[in-house]
Amino acid sequence: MHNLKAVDLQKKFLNGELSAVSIVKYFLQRIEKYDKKIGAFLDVYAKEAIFLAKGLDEKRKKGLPLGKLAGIPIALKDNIHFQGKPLTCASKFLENYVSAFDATVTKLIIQADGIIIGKTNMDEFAMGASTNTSAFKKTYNPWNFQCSPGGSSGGSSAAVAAGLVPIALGSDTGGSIRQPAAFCGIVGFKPSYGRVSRYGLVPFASSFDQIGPMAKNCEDISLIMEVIGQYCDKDSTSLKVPRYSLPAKEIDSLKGMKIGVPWQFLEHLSADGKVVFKKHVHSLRKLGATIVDIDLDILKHSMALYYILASAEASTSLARFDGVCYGKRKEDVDSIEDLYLLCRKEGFGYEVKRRILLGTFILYSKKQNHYYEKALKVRSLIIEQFHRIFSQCCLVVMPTTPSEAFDAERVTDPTLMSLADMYTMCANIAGLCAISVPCGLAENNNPLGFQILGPIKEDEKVISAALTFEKNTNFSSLFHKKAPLYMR
Amino acid sequence: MDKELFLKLANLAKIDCSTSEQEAFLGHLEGMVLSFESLMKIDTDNVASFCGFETKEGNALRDDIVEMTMDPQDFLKNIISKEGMIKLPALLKT
Repeated sequence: MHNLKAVDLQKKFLNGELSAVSIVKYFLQRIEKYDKKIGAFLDVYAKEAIFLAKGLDEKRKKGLPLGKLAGIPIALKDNIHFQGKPLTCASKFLENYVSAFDATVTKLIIQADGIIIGKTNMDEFAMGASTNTSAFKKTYNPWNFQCSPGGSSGGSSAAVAAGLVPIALGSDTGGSIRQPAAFCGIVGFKPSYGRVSRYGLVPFASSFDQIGPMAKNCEDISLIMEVIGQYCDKDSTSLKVPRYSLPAKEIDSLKGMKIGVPWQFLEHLSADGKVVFKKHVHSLRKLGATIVDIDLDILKHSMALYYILASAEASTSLARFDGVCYGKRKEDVDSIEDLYLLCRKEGFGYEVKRRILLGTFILYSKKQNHYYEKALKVRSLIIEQFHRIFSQCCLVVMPTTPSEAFDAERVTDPTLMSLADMYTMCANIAGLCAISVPCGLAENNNPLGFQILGPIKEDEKVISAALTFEKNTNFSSLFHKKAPLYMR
Repeated sequence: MDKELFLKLANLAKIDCSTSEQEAFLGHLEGMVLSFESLMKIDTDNVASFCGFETKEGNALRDDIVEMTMDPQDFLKNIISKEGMIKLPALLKT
């Protein structure tokens, strides 16, 4: 059951072949059996999920209408609000915080009869590329327990890859959905900025953040996007465009499509990565696409730009965590100043403090015009460059990461780890939609991801292309031959 | 970046750190600032600053109508409160 697509699981539920209770119990048993080792979940709602499933079975028996996600268990990254449930952002600061409201995406999933089965582990406040900065537990890559699952949506990625849940939501600020998806051999989609509501997502860097889906295949990604990919009046950056909907006609070829590849920018790719990437660019040609060499040399500045702007926004976003309205309140303090200092000292981990301090430096009055303004202008240049490229090309492709998943014990420097986001940051900088599709294995058997990027608002085009690409890779057969036995 | 500036930033950010943490953070910050230098050399004359992704609608404003978006009781569950108000320590040190 764990290797069935969510769309097929749902068909079996709707035609009575499987009950919602049996589906939920199956995944709960897998979580019980394997998550002790993997560490994907922070919280599992077994009783509630079974109760909801019973209700869905009743609804189906009575012939009542059922939502698009009926019968499908779904996990949420633990920075997405679910009313009445703990929300920690994997931080000690929020270890006792309980969500007072539902995020828009949570509400939409519930309305569509999806069954929220639990909350997944992440880097603290989504700051990281390994899930190692979580204050509570470590998450391991289901393909190779010595390796990182990536981050910051590592818990969601590991949960899907290990077959603990068919679909999970993550959040992506610089690659935090796509990079762990690539490391764990699954599909991860970062929607266009504004395509999915951020209401109820704990912000990290508001002009970069997006909630997005993770699943084993592109059809399931498209299914959940039909539910969450819509305008929200509670999010002032929400795009007023028609609800996400994939064209009914399947695209079997990419004939006539111009696809850009920034060959010069890919010089840091690993040897394995180069071989696999070139092979798949060639397969795009066989599908009828014309490959165009494009200039994205400006992206060599994206890491510096990202650190300047995202840290500045993060220092503002996290200023609200002062012990007054949220978590980690200390009673034995003499003054409000002492409260701020003590709760932030004890509540935040090293990486979060580091980024807040950097952001504060960036915004400090004497320096603001110097770094921050410059970064804003370079961001405009990057957006303009993508406009020029997309006036010639439909899509851009590049590897998701420079190499496969890194060794979790050996690579601990946060700056080194963030190099894994080198190819993903540009989509957040420019507001583009981008998807990572598993495309092969490195020599050490770790998965590699292939990234397809499209202009803002063209999410359907990117997912259509990804569906066509997915059909023409042999990752599925690689998975069945090479993935660890418990995953198959 | 020097220790004096670092302590000013730590105070602004309300981040209290030990001496060893200060040294570690200072080292990291110095490294990050060095890495920004290549970005600073890019020619951005006559380039407008990014101020949001273009939308036809411009700024998204909503009508100034008071709505109950959250039950106050759910909000109060997460804080130390007294008689429906948030309880705080003294604003001024005595």
